[in-house]
Parts: sequence; C-alpha cells; structure tokens
Amino acid sequence: MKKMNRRTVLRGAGGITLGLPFLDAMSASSFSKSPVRLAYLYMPNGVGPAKSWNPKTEGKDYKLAAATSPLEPIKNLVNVHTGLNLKQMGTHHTTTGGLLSCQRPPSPKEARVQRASIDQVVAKQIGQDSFLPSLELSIEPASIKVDSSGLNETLGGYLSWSSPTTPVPREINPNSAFRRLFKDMKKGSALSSTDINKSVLDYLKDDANSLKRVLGRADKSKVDEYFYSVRQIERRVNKMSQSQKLPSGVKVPPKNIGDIRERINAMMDIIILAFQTDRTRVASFMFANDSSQRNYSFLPGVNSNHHAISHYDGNPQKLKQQIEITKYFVSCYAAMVKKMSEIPEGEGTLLDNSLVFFTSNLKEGHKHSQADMPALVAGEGGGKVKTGYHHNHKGKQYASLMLGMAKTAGCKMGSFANTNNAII
Amino acid sequence: MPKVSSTNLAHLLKKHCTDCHNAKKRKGDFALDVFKTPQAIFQDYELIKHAYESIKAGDMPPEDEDITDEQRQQLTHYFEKIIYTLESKQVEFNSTTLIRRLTPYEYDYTVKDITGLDLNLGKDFPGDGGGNQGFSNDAKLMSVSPIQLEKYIEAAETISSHSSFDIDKGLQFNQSDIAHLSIADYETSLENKLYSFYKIYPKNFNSKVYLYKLMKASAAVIFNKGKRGDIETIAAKHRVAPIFLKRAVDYFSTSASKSSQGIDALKKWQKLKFLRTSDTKEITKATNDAVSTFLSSFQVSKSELYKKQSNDRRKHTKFVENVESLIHLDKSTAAKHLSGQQLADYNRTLEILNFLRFSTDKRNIVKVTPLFEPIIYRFLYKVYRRPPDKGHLHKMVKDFLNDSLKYGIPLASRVMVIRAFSSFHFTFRIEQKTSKKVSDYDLASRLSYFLWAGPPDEQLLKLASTDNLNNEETLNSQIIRMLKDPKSDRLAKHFASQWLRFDGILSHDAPTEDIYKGFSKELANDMWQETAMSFNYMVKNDHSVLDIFNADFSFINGRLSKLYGLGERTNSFKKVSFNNGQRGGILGHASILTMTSFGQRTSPIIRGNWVLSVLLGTPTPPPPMDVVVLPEEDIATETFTLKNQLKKHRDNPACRGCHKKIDPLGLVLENYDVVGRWRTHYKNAKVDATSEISGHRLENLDNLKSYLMQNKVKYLRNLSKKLLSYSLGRSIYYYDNFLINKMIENTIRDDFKFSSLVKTVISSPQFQLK
Repeated sequence: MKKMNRRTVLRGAGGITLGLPFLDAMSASSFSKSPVRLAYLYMPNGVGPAKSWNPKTEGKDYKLAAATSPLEPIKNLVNVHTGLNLKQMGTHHTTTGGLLSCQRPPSPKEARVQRASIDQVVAKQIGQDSFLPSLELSIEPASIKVDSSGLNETLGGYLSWSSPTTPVPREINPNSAFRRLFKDMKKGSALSSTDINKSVLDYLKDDANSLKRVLGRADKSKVDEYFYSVRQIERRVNKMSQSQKLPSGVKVPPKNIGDIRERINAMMDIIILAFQTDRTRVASFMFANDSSQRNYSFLPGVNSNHHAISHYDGNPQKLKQQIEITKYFVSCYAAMVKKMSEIPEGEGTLLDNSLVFFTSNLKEGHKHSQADMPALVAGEGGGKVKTGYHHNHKGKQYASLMLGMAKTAGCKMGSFANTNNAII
Repeated sequence: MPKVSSTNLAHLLKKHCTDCHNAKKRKGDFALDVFKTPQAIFQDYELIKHAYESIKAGDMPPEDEDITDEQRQQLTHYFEKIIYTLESKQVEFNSTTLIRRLTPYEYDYTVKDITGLDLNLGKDFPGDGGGNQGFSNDAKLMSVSPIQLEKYIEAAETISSHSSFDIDKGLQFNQSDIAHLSIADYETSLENKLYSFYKIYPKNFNSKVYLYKLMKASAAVIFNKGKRGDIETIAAKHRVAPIFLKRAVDYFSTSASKSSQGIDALKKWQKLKFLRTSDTKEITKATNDAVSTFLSSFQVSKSELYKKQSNDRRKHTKFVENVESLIHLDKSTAAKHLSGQQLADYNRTLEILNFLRFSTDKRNIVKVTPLFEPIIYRFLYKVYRRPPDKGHLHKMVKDFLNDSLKYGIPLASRVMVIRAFSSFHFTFRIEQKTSKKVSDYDLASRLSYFLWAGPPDEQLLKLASTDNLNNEETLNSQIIRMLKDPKSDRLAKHFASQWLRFDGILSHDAPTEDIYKGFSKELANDMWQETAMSFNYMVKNDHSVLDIFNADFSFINGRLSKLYGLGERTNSFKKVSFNNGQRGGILGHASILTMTSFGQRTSPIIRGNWVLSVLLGTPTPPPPMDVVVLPEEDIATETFTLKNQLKKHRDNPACRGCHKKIDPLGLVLENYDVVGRWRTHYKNAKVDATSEISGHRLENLDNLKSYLMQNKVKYLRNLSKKLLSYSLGRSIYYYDNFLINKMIENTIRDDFKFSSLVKTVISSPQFQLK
C-alpha cells in the first residue's frame, strides 16, 4: 500500500490545520463572548536541567534557554513560569497520575489519586455547554501492569482523573478521536436517524433506572455512571442536531498513522479543531506515558530510549539527547500555539481566548524531584493574561498556577489542592 | 512463642527500624511508623510479611545496628506471631464483590459465544486500569464513561449489521455482511413463505402472475354463468387451484355486485357480469379491461399502505386485505390442508404479515405480542446470560413492535439488537443483591468468566435454571469439564500472559541487526505461542503447576527449533522433550529470555528481577532514586565482562542488599543470548554462568530449577495470589491470606494440580459471596 503522507492529508498547501476554513461566523453568532478554552499538554521523564530550561532573567525581555528555543517565534504569546514547586510526589508513576491533582497519590500500588484532576474540575464547570465536556488524548495505550517493583503503572498512563479512582480513558487513534467529535456516520448505519438514536438512549436510560432496584448500594454507583453517560450522549445528540456541521475541506485522518510525529500532529490538530468548533473547551494530551521508553531516533543524535536518556545524571552525551527530545515536544507545542494564533475569532484569535499549558511530571529525570516544575502557558485566556514574560515564582506552589488558570477560564473555585493563592 | 506485647514491639521498631523506614525517609519505599494503633499493623499483611522476611534472613536490621541477638530473635518472634494470627484464621472481610463490566476481551468472547460473530470490536474500547496484582479486570477501575458507552453503542450497531430477523428462528447472525431488506421486500419474503406452505401453489410462485391468472379464470367462470360445474375444468385450463378460484369467483361476483367497497376497479366486473354477447373479441376486451383496471388500482391501494399519511387508509387496507386473501389460504381452508406445526407456522406468518401491513393501532400490538415474545425471550436470555425479567421483556417486545410498524422488521430488529448489546445487562455482569451466596445464574457467570473469559454455555445455564449448580460435586465436575474445554485456552491468553507478562514479547523491539538478524513478527509470535501452549497444556491435562518452570519439555515449531539449534522441523508446533538441560520450563523459553534482554545485550538484572518478582512474587524495593543505571549498550569488553561489572556494583553497599538476590538468578541464564539462543562463548570469552545465592551454587538451568523447587511455596503463594485476583476481579488484601494459605495447602496435598487451585478459589467465600 502506498504510504500516506500526512502533509497531503492533514495540511493544506497553506499549512493550516486540517485545511481548516475559518469559522469566525460561527463563534461570533453562537456566543456573545467567546468562551475560554484550556489545554493541558504533558511530556514524560522531565525536561532537563534548569540551565537549559529556565531563562536567566525575569520579566519581558528575557532570553530563551536552549531547550525552550523553539518558543522563539511565539515568544510574545507565551509565559514561562519557573520556581513553582510540588510537594514530593513519590517516584515514577505516581508523579504523573497525581500531577494534575497536585498531590502524591496515596499508594504507588493502587490506581488511585487524591482528587479529581484540575482539567476535569474545570470541565465540570465550563465544559458543560460544549459538545464534549472535555477531550482526553494520547498516542499510546495506557499500561496497566504492576511493574517489577510492585508499582502500578496505571498511575503513569493517565493525566486526567474524573474522580480519585476514575482515570479518564484517552482516545489514542486520531481517526477515532475525529469521528467521535464529528460523528462521522458510516453508510447504512441503523443509527443514522436522530429518532432512532433517541429511542435507543431512552431505552438505555430506562434500563439503567430499572436496575437500581435490583442492585446493591455499591453497585448503584456504576449504574449512576452509566446513566450519566447516557445523558451525556443524549445531550450530544441534541447538540449535534443544533450545532454546525463539520466545516468543508476538513479531511478525516487516516485510520492508521504509523509515524509518531504524524500521530502527534494529527492529535494536536484535532484539539485545535475541537476548540475552534466548540466541540470541547477542555483538552488534555499526553505526548507519551510516564517513564516512556520510546526511541526518538528521528531526532539528531538520539539513539537510545527516552527513559534511559532522562537519567543523564552527569553524562553529557545523554544530556544532549534529553535536550533534543525536550526541544521536540516544545516545538510541537509552539506549532500548536502558532496555529491557534492564526485562527481569527471575534475581535482576536482563538489563542487569545485560550490557555495552552505545557508541563512534565518532573524537572530532571534522574533527580525525581518536583521542585521548580516546568510550566509554559500560552494565550491570553480571554484577555485576562499578558503574555511574553518570564515569571519566577520563587517557590510558590504549582497548584496555584492550576488554580489561576481555572479561575481565568471562569471557574468559580476558592481553592485547589490546599492552596487558595491563585497565580497566572 | 511469646505473646506479642505491642508496647514491646513498638519499642523495638522505634529503636531499630524507624530511623530509616519512616514516613519521611521511606527507605526501601516503605515506612513502619505509620501505624497509629497496634491493631493497625494487622491491616498491612504485605508490609509485615516483607519486613519479616528481611528480619528472619538477618538482612535487617543492618549488620552495624546496635542490637543484640536476643533482640533480633524477639523481633522475629513478634513478626512471626502477627503473621501467624493473620494467616491462621479467616479474617472477617466486608468487601462486597463489585459489579463488573466486561473487559474488552471478555466483550469479544461474549459476543462470539452468543452470536458466533468474530468481530474483534474490543480493540477500539478504552483500556482499563489494573489492580494491585496487575490484571485488567479489576472491578474498581471499570468505570463507564460517555466515551465507553459511545463505543458500546457503535459496536452494537456493528453487531446489528450482521443480524437478521427470521420470524420462526428469531435473530440470526452472519459473519459476512447482510443485505438488509426494505420494508416491502421483507413483506414479500413473508408472502413467499406463506405460499411455500402448500403444494397447491405452483413452483416459482409469483403472486402477481397468480392473481392475474386467477382473474382470467374468474372472468371465464363469471361470464360462463350457469355452467359453474366447470370450475375444475376452468381452473385446470388456467393452471390455478380450484379452491382459490372458487373464492375468487365469489369475491368478484358478490363483492362486485354489492360494490360495497366503493372501489372503482370492481365496477368493470359488474359490467362483465351483465355482458350478454358471444363476440369473442368483445369478451376478451371486457375481460382485459376488468383485469387491468383492477390490477392497477390494487397497485395504487397497496402503495397507499406505505404512506404515512393516507386519506382513505381504511378503505385501501380493507381492499388489499381482501385481494391478498384470494391467494392466501384462509384460516379454515388452511386448517383443512395443513396440520400441526405447519399450520401453526402458517397462521403465525399470516398474522404477522397482516399485522405489518394493516395495523393501525396499539391493540394490534397487544394481539401479536405472544407471537414474538418467545423469540425475543430466547434472544435476551442468551445476551443477558440469564432469564430477562418480565417487565424488561415486555418493554423490549413492545418497542420492537412499535418500531416494526414504523420502520419495518429489518430495521426494527437491528435497533433491538443495538438496545440489547449496549444495555447495562449485556455490558455488565449484573448480580442480584444478596447477603448470602450468589444465585446459581450469577455463579454460572462467575465460573465462566473466570475460566473462559466469556459467557456460561447452555449446560451451565441449564444447571442454574434448576438451581442444581451450587453443590460440591456438580461444581467440581463442571470445573474439570470447563478446564478441558477449548475455551480454557483463554486462561493462557489472558491470565497467564498478564501474570507472566509474556505479551511483552509481541511489542519487544527487535535486536539490532549486528546482534541478531532473523527477528520477525512471526518469530515473536512463535515465542509467544510456546509459552502460551505450555501453560495451556498444564491446564488442559491438569498437570502440576510447577511444570511451568520445572518441565523437561516444551512446544516448538520449525522456527524455534532452528533458533534453539535443534535442526530442521516442520512448522507446526509439537511437544518436544529435552535431555540436554538447555530447555524445558519457562526459563528456557525464548519469549522470556528475549523480553528480559536489551537489544544489544542480555540483562542479568532484568532476568533475575523477573524470576524474583514475576515468578516468586518477592520483588526487591526499587533502586534509590539517585542510582546510576547501567547503560543498555553493550558494555562488556573481552577483559571486563558484564559479570565483572555487576560484581563491582554488588560491592557497593547501597546496592548489595538487593542485588545479591537479583543478580545470581539472572547470571545463571547467561548461556542464553538476547533472543534466547544457546551460547557457550561471548566475544571470544567462555560464558561464565556460575553464581551463588544464599549458599546455593547455580551453574545451569537445572540448578536454577532446583532452587525454584526449594522455593516452591513462594511460587505457589504468588501464583495463588495472582489467580485469586484474576478470578475475583479485584486487588488482594490482607484478609485474603487465609484463603491463599488454603490454596497453597490444598495444592500441595493434590500433587500441585492446577485444578486444586481453581477448586479452592471457586469454593471460597470470596468467590461465592456477593
């Protein structure tokens, strides 16, 4: 079979996401004011030492460090936050599972975190008016193994948790993610009529309701979850018939995209498209799972697995490779931010109405320390944030930034993860 | 044995343990100062057991700790006592078994075993998290999210596209795509079915043609008034059945004369009736006129039936019904010509056809409900793995019939399939609330999902339906039957592969070409097969669970034979015995040996760790966070072997504690290279696979096997824990240790037979209580 070239599929000649036409009319008519969108992007294994990540000076005219150099073209659209700390999060997988709930999970052996992650908290508040309350994406399946030391790898596979015990499933295939967002019905489907769809959902609701009588208390929560899911889908069926169709010119991503880079790009394009068409307002994306051992051999000089590289310690060879890998993810982030800044919305751009967050579970792989966490925030959050700065918070809490972003997006919340001090 | 004094124990712990093992330092990743009350210590069996092992072995407290031998002994005794208490009696447990959703693979097997469809739909479902034993069927983590439900509905739609509805046989499933009929075509198919019942219909019956012939013959009779005795002759001449001709003549002459239905079409027949002429041409013209006008207005009326809004629906309905009945056997005629099942089927078909065509109100639904209920009952019984409750069944039937009127049976039945397969009843394993043992139906499902990862079969359901499943004798014979059934292959595929992690081989990175050239997907698959087949062989033949590592045979095909240096062989797998000490048992399997190696070199640490944690269930704590990791590249030189490198790192006191346990178990496997090939030399140096572990000298695979045999209780404990966790779909907690010990005891008593483990699990309160 002929290999599919992503450029022909996902990129128009002009380099616009999925060949997207601008949907300015839609956003202007649907909302008096555009909603704020939030994206949480995560790379595993840490970003590298402070000297290659943190800018030397604070404020406006700072100079980007080596690993963040891909931010140069969007430097004015992003803030670099340094000096934010998380309390010791444990080792390995716990640091990822607990990252967006900002606290060490109770045990490295159980798939449980301390609270719902911030993206899910936000989605509960601001996501309810869009087609999907939130969108969770990754490009590889979550591992569920208990590793050789008895540690539960489930914690390392999920950034988003809708409750302390509920990791939110991520879509890992761009094709499925796309079809889910835009309900690309296959031909001859028995579900092509809205009436039938509704009748099936009605049935499922009745079904779930009638079960409550039969089941024990502990099991009822599952029925409730099920019921909630039916209602969400029902809501979506209604929204689907109200909301605009998929803009013309957008092509469905192919079923199988072999190349990692193409898969990552396709996923980021889907996030942009989902924001642009208000299919969702909150997204999380994992470039890879915690402790990922992927070999990014397409990068210059990289010839070993990421996890091993991240334990560079004093090894200059490995450190160089770590910086290359970090640079790669930062460049993906920068490309996404740039695209969003080119999509007009209302008086400004899609990016103006968004906050795009980039982070990792650690600073340095081999140190396993959550001091001075990496954090980039692009976008003005609906005109509330001034960008182009380096903020050194000198030991304030990472959770404060989570709280600040949530508040900027319009969430009504006084505190998160034991902090009530919001920064943005 | 001295009584445990909690103050005494607390004192000893504080003095000798918690300086390092405290909540802050967490040396070895655990703390002993976290117990708020002396009782709390009983809750963490694993931790106590872990601490006990180290204390007993003399590893802890460390050599340089200021502690007398007597105090060490005291400490050991205390821990022993606690463990004894925890293990020797059934601890009350209040953990109810949570309702379980089907895992993606269980979903596929359930669809397959119910419908025969092999659609592999589960691969699109979101994965599940794992419990503390690493199995993906943990009920706690089986949430339902909108995305999950969406996928279920989508998958159910796909299943429905492979389904069709036969009014006698019920829902039929076909692996190949089915052409779904339109409403009109489906009704035609029912008509054809009617005609096929009786031999008075000619072969290749065509209702339109037949009606035409019937009219021609009727016209001849009507015109030939007074010579009615000739009906038989005319029928024969026109090749129609006399009984139909009689009814047709009645209809065309009587109804026509009454003209009661106000259908213009019949006016021409009146004309014909009163025509008095002998001119053949005129007769033919009048006949043709009557026939064709009639046919075309029949066509119009028929099409009116399919319009949602029709002005004269009743009029048309009546008309079509009457005409149709001319070529149907009416009830009394049918009763004369047909009997028994044939008659019943005929009447049912007729009634359903009339329902679909002519029903206008809800009363008709009530009338035909009994015709559909048994069929739909059987369908739901299979899909839900239990009898559907009455209310549920009625609703399903009612919705189906309503939909049938709206969309026709083909689409209505598909929608019903979608409802059933996306309902909670299918996607979850529903169990009735009870404070006692679960019902027989629930138990049937617990059994089948444990041993087959799929639904109970007819035999289990039948036993459940008569409440005859839950007695020791029946259960034991069912367990034996189920283990021998081909479906128990799924234990190897899903239990063993998650426990022994040999699925890893399928995603293992190929070694670089300078190390080994022939690594392919096929070879990786073969490696996987060898391990799966070995496990499966043990299950099917109810052999000793120790065979997993201790067997002197294995299953190999051509490619593996070549890899193992055993010469040419056909490519089908065969059981082969070994006597050269190189193979047999899982530690000689290429799957395990390969996936515990890096691409460029073997890793005695990973191999040793695999034996220690996966096989024996006694992992060492994770390395300190600041440790320098050995590179994956080939670091051995001719003069400085990997073994020496490792030795160097065992000299480091920070590493020694664990690595003296890990390394020897991997070093002894150094005769196997990165893809599990046998080697005696590496880089021109002779491979030195000798090492020592707690006084045992290890030189070869046989030594390693005997070492494991000496530790078989650890192995059994580990396997018991894993199997219990998999069977219950939950994590294992301290209160399960009584059962785990029982599993070990029974298995030792029963010559280590696999079925002994299974039986002990299935008869346990954990398995049988809700």
